[in-house]
Amino acid sequence: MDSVFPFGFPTPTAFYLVLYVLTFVLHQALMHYVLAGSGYLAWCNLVPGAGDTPRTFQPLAAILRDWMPFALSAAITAGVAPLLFVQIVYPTAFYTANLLLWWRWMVVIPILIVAFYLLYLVKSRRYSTWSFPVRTLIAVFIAASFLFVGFCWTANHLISMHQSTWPEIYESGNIAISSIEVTLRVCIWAGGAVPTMCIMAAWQLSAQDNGETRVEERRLGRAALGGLSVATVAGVVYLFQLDELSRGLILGSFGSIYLGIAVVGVILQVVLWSMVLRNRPTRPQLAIVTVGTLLSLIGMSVLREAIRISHLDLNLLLEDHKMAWEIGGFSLFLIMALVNFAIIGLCVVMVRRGLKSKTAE
Amino acid sequence: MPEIYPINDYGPIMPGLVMGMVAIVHVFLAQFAVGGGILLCYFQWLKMTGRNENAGKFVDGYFKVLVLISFVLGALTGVAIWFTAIQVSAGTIGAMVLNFHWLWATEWTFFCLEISAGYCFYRYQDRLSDRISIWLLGIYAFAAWMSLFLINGILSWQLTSGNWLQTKSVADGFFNPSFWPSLLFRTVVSVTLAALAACVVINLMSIDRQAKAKLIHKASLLLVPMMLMPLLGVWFLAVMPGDSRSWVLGGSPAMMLFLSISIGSSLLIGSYTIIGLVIKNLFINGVTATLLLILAFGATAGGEFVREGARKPFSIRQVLYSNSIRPDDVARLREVGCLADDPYPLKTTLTFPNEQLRDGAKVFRRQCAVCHTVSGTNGVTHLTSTWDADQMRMNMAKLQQTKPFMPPFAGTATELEALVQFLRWSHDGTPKAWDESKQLIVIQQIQTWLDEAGTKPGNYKQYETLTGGDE
Ligand code: HEC
Ligand code: HEM
Repeated sequence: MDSVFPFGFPTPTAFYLVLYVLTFVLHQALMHYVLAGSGYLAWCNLVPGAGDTPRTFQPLAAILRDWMPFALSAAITAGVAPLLFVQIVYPTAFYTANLLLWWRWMVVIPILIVAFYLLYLVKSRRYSTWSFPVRTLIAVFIAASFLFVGFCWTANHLISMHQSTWPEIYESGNIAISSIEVTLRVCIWAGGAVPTMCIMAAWQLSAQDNGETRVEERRLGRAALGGLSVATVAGVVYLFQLDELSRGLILGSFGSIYLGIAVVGVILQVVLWSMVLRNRPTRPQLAIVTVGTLLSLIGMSVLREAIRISHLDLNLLLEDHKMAWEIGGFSLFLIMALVNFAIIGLCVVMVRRGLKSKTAE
Repeated sequence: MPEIYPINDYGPIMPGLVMGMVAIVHVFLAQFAVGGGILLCYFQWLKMTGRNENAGKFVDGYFKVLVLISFVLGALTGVAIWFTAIQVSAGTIGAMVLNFHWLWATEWTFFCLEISAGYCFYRYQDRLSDRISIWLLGIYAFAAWMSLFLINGILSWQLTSGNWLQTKSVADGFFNPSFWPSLLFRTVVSVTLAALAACVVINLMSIDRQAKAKLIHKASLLLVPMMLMPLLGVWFLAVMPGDSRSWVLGGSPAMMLFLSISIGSSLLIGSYTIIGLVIKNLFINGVTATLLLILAFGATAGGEFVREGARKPFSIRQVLYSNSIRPDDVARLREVGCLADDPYPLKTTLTFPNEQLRDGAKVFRRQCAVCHTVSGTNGVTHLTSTWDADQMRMNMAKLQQTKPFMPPFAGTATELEALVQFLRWSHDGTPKAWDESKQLIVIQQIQTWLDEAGTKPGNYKQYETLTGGDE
């Protein structure tokens, strides 16, 4: 694996790997909004602030509450696509990890259902009339649920990578994964979720465009910088803690470009968010942060894949990928994807125009 | 090399049963969402053309229910079904993903469209013109129905793979013999569910009884397609493989029961609604509407059980047995055994008096556990309690002839003897001491039976002539 990802692999394998990574980035971005957004809502309740309006009732929290159910819908829907491709690229590993976790895996579903309904509850008008402890309890529960779901995905991912531990996990029922590795990974995605949410929320705040959101913009800036620091520190420690092979892939020609991309993304974010602390961000500035965020997400997703690839022997799977590649239907998918995403765009345009003409009346 | 997955012991609940439950809930909700889209378009049209003054209010209320139920429960039970399917048979889901991943990916794009159009409507409809609203609803309904269209192709392929077996072409697999009857049937069920749910919602609205009656009458129009159900049902049975059909129609008491539940409930709903609502224009209160919905749930449940069960012994007809062993692989496993490449130790608190029993337990896990427990639900020790050792040996060596909805035994004669010993030992209450059975003559006899049975799947016709067709 001396070539840059994904070029060292035969076309079918490279193709499915790229599709996996791209759709995973989409899932990740939306999941970050849900994860950090619900975290922010919980924090607002716990630390209401000294101002006239408690943080829970300031515009940022209101926006997040309003959009959270849709964002979760979107995050779940976006998760279906990498779920499909991961089964093409690493079928045995993914399935085996699912089976070994068994009910510890299946609980993800009821937890998400409960959290989902709670998001609708939190969005309802009734919520603001409830007492502080009740509100806080619900908000914290929701955030904790998402954190737990993320943890389950990490556990599944780590088990799937360590084939030699499967029989033992099966026999003992104990999940033999390193707690240091889990903690570092959780710190990376939980920390990384904050800046992703911050930039999305910053766009939403700027759309409201009234002078009252300045305090909250700065709060977003501080949160983003905090999250980036946690993720970066955890990332560096993780890199040194990884085994020789994985680190070699990341630092070698396979991954170093992506490491560079991720680092550039982080630098862009740090510089621009620091500016936000001082002045109101302009739209171009927000756009640069967005690009920086995307770069980090893509870079990190490929590095995450490099670690998995160093553990699982992809060579054994090349035949399977070729078989999948030879099965028809791709052109149908491509056409329908273009058509359907165009219609989605059309819906948005239609709604925007419709809303404008209504307000004009 | 076939993949071997760890097999969990789910205790008394069999994985197939769990799968059935999750599947039923999901199918019910998904079909409600599909029908709901169509129904909403119709009511939005009633509103726009001034045909009913409360139609707008209804659309409002109904869509909220749809979003709360189908966006949340519908979507997540969809993921749940996927996860459960992996638990039940990773090999099956793997083969389905492999063969139809682009269809699934296509379905995903419709899913995205459905969520987007639906959410645009949900969020902004009170600030949008009627024209834009009906466009959004139309797109929503179309996208929802298209996901039914796509998933229906994949699910019906599991039962009737048609020409796909020869050509392996996605189009042949997708437009398989049961595709159209199944699609039409599911579409009718969808609008039926939506109409019944509408009756519940209408009853909850704060409008007078007269106005409710008018709305209900409109909604009941969508119950008329139910009259097609018997026809579609017969069509579906006609394209089913002969063995599955005869099994559903009497070969298996359980299947018969589920089929009867399904048909019975549908008949009840059909006659009640057609006569009462459509012809006599009667009022239907919330309780009755809810009861009808519960009946419809029963009908869905019966239907899904039949669909799941009718495939036995296959999980994908001719491609994969329920126990994840490939038909093409049976002959090889008869030579090398089914334990040789199984890396998983047994997960049990039992102490086995000897290695043979341990092997037997492993054979059971690999080949039988997907449909049986040892001594619980469908427990083999109960089913064989009156058999002597030789009867067990013969009937298991000729498993596909013992019951044609079981796959052929896929292991060596020694492994079969281990299985028999394990079952007898379990039947006797797992005593501390148990002699290993090593007689060559026994193994030779088993081998003869295995050879007589061959490695092909059983044949229902042959079974019928052997037993005179009665159970
Ligand atoms: C595809 C699912 C499936 C698999 C796999 C399966 N069975 Fe069965 N088996 C059934 C069903 C269904 C019945 C009918 C149960 C009843 O009549 O209540 C049955 C019945 C039986 C009976 C009773 C037969 C009779 O004539 O009364 C025995 C014995 C049996 N199975 C043993 C086994 C053994 C041993 C294995 C593994 C080698 C196995 N089965 C694998 C589904 C399966
Ligand atoms: C709010 C709920 C969710 C959260 C917080 C969440 C979080 C995460 C996280 C943190 C990871 C990366 C784990 C790691 O690399 O260590 C991940 C991966 C993934 N998630 Fe989600 N997730 C959620 C819901 C879902 C759902 C519902 C689906 C499926 C429809 C899904 C599909 C995936 C897939 C396919 C992966 C990649 C798994 C792999 O490659 O091993 N996620 N998720």
